[in-house]
Amino acid sequence: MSTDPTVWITAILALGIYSFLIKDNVVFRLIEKGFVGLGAGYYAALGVRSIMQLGINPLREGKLVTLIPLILGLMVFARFAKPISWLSRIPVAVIVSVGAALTLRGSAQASLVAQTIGTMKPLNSFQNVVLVFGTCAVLVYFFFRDIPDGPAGRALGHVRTAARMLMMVSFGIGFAGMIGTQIPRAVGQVQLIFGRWIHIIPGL
Amino acid sequence: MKSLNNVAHLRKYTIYALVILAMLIPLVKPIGLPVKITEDTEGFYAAMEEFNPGDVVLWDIHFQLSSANELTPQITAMAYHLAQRGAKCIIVSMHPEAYPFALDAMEEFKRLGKDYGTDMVYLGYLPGEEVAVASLLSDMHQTVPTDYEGTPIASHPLMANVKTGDDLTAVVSINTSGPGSWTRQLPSYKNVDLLYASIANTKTTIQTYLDTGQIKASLDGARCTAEYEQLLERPGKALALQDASSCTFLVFLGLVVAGNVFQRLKPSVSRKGDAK
Repeated sequence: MSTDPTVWITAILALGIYSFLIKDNVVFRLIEKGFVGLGAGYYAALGVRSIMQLGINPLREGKLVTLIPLILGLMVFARFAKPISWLSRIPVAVIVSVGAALTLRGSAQASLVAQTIGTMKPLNSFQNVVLVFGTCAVLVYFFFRDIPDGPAGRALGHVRTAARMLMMVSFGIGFAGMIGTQIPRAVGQVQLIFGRWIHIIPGL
Repeated sequence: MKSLNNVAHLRKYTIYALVILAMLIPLVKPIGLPVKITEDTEGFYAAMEEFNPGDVVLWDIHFQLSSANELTPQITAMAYHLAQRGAKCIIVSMHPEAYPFALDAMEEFKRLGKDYGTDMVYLGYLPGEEVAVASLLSDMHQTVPTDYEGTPIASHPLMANVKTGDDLTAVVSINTSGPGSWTRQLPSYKNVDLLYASIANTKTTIQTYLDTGQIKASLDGARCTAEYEQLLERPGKALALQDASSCTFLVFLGLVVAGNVFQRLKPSVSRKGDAK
């Protein structure tokens, strides 16, 4: 067994969290709430540090322009005082407008033009055919919901079926990717409990 | 038929036991399953190999605590590769939870004999997501006047000639939030490549950016990191995870296949629960 108290604490907390797999219990809830509290404290501490680094310190050095974001930041807290709560809308409006303007500036090129060009491929390989057909079929699936009678309607129906199958494949890949992400996380916990804590796994 | 039913309705504790054993046995007694190097990882390695001594790389570390086990091996491997190539690094964490991991990256550089201020600088946590990205690229000294310790960044030799995105060779982003901020803001600065690393399940999102060249190369998840460690000839944490991960994948695959097969084989049940 490990003699390091931090390993003991980490392992016991990990076991406490995994106890949820059996059923919801007091230990799990206690650790969960502790984690939330710890997270809030961590975020607050880092927030204060950032304000000091990016706001207060430059102000002390005479960069008066940092007063503007600092005042806007303080205005957010006006929502706690009812008579002046309207003031909190100003910094939110600034955040939304600046964020939207910056995102829009690059979106047209990065998300629309570049990605559309990316789907315009020569149909000289199976991969390109699947890509072009898949993009068109899924667009058809979402934009043409009323299927008319007749041969055109039947063709549209086949395209919609193919699109649904392609989307199912895509969801399957998403699920496999999710497992691919979760397994290393779980293996890490097994290494902690059986390796660093109770030393069954060699080399840890 | 009863045994078929038992298999189709495995108790959750049996599944937990199978999964734990699949992880534990290869960790106790490594099997040494082969790790085949994929094209994407080779591409990422090649892109990192293109760095020359003196190139300046902005290294964005942007992920949550929950992804640490999958992404910290990437930090170790990339720090080694960047140091080996002699690239200079400006580290920044754009996610509050990434702050300690960025400190780890810096410590890794120090272990590799690199000097703080000359070979790397850590700007600390920078809030503001895309606004912060745009601001940082337009004027680093104005956006982050001091580093994580409160030292003016202008006093570091590395930062003397690095003012805007134009002075960078590349941005390397270990990121779980998607490449959107970088793909939108970086095209304003010519000749700055974007290398992206993330968890396994972002692969489908990243692929579209790789195809268009908006991302030069990507490293996706622990599996690709293990391949990358092999290419670097420096086995690390990701490679050590591979046997256990592969065995657990096989158990999951077996359970999914068996579940579907037995579900097909067993007699269908009517709404009242009577077998037809």
